[in-house]
Amino acid sequence: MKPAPASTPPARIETELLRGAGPLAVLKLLERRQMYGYELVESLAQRTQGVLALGQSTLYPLLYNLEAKELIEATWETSDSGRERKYYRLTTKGKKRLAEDEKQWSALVGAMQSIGIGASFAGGAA
Amino acid sequence: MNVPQALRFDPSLKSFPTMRGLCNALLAVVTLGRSGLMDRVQGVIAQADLPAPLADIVLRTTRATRLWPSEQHDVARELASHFREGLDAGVPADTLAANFGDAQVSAGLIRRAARRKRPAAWQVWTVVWKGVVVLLLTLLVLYGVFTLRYYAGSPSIKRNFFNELNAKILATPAEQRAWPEYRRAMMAMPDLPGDEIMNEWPAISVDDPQFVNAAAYIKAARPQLDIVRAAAERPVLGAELLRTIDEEFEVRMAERRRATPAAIQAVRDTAVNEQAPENPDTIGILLPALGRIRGLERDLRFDNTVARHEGDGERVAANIEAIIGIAHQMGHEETLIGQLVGYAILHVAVNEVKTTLTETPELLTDGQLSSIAHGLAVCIEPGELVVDMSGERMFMGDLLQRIYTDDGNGDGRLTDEGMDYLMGVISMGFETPLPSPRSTAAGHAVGPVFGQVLAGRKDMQREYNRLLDQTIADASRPAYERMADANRDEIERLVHDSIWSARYLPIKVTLPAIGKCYWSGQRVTLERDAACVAIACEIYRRRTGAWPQSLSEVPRPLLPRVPVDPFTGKEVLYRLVNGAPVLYSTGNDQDDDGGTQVVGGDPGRVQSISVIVDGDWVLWPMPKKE
Repeated sequence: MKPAPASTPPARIETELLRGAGPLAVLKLLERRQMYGYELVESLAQRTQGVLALGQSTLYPLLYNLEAKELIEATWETSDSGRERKYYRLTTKGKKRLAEDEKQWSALVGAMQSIGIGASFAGGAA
Repeated sequence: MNVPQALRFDPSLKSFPTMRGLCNALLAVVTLGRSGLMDRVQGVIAQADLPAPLADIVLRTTRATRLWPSEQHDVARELASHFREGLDAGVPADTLAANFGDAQVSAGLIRRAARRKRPAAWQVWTVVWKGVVVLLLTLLVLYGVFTLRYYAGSPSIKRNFFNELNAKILATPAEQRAWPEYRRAMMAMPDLPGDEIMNEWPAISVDDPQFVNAAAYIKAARPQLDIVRAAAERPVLGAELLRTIDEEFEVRMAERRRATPAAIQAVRDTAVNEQAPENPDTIGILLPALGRIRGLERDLRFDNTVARHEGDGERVAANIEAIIGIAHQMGHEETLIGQLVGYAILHVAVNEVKTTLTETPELLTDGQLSSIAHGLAVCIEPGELVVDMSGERMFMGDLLQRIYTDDGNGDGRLTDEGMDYLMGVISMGFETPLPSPRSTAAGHAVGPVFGQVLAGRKDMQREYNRLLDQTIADASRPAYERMADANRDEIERLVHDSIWSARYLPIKVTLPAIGKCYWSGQRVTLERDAACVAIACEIYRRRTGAWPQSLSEVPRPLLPRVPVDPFTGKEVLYRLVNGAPVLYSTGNDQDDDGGTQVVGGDPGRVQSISVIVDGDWVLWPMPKKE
């Protein structure tokens, strides 16, 4: 197998790393507007260039967990095309959590960069 | 609604409610919910117009979540919607299916996450019932272990206490053992008089209409009473313990009381049928001598009544000395019960002395009185009488070896066999024997648990020794010290403690009332020593013509020492009341009431160390009966 170049991010993130990043990413996407599941998958895949591409088997449990924690809430709505979609939106509690997690992630990214990890991606991920 | 016909609840079932009917009804309700759900999921898939592979994924995933119907419906809608969006975006069905991953794994993740969304009450309930299940399973496993331990072990009976006891008895030369002679005398005694006499025996006074017949019986028994009096001079009782009844002796005893032929045959049958184990338990040891000895003591007592009436001082003295001798023999028995019988017989001897001095003061010579006093003073042992608990320790040792296993280091656990034996011991305290734990399902079920509740062998032995030693130390104190200590009786407190009682059940059911046993010794000691004082005073009166004004007037050779009142720790009190001497203890109120015995009720109440009664304990003369 040909090793990936040092400057190229890996195609998939290890599950352990994703466990912390996935929820934060979803919360961040829902910060601006409500989104439905497929839309979230697509948006994550595109905006992270496939790094945070979540499969359905990961996304929906993640969404249910966030819902259980009352960080997001869901409603079934009918689109203009007449299709039923389950939209997720951030709650007040979710907004607070997002703010807190963003701070922590910034601190973490800064710390990692300070020891030479991820310096080449600074400012590129979000 | 696709409810299978076989599972539908049929309201026309005449047997309902039956278990089968109820099950059918419940199954129908459950199936109805599930069946309806699948219809709805199929509807969702159809509405999304999904190709077969994706429809199958939705169906399998939804079903595999095993969520509530409404939750499954929601999941199905969302997955179907997701696939529809993908298809509409131009993603091939195969790609969508491949990206989805394993349906079972996805269902598991979805299920876990969806359940977190459920209401708090449900979450609490889930934790509770899971906890209960875990607890029950743990208990079940523990119970299994306990059961295995309980049924796997068996007691290891190594010591033969029966043989050890008999070895001691038989080590005494035959000419020093009184029992064989007592037995010979009783075998030869005439048949007992009728019930009209035996019901009152031996308290038949000279003015009783039955006195003549009773006197005739005792006169006929005089040759045998001579044997008894001679045997009473021997140092030990020496009654060999028996594995079965002494058939020849018991048959003769039955004949003496004019038992029916059937009753006599029953005695013979008992002897034949009774099994004779090599190592019988000490609790079940037959002690027939105890009851028979009391019978001899009663015969001697009545012979004294007749002898006093006939003015036969020599016979009275001989009878009193014989009763003292029997008390001495019994007081040295290995068993606690034997020793207590000895105390009781000594009490009888003391009363005979006091009665003789009161009713026929001139009957006995100085020499006879002195001899009786010397016999009394050393009866059982000089000084205070103290029960010996070594026999009780032996009984407990035997009990423990019959209920516990033996690990070789003094420890062990309760076994099925041991539990059965223990229940048998407990049953002895009941009129109707308790059922054997081996004969009931409850007994089998509870046994292993009780095996864990009950203290181990070593712990049991340690607690028994601790309690015995502590109680003996406490009981050995004078009454006035014990009465001042409100918390003296730890056993009394412990037997009312249900946890202690369950953990140390064998101790609870076998530990004797040590305090009462010791107090019995102290009480009889005072009575014995008071009788010696009475004899000394009587001899003093004969020599000087008057009762002493105080005990200090009585010369030392006649009265070496004045007994100590256990209620005060001081010398017993003496005074002349209307010219007659009264020797007394303050009684439990520790207050000198001038030698006035307690008014009303049992005069013995003043001797109690637990309930205080006004009045004195009159030691001499005999207290008047109410």
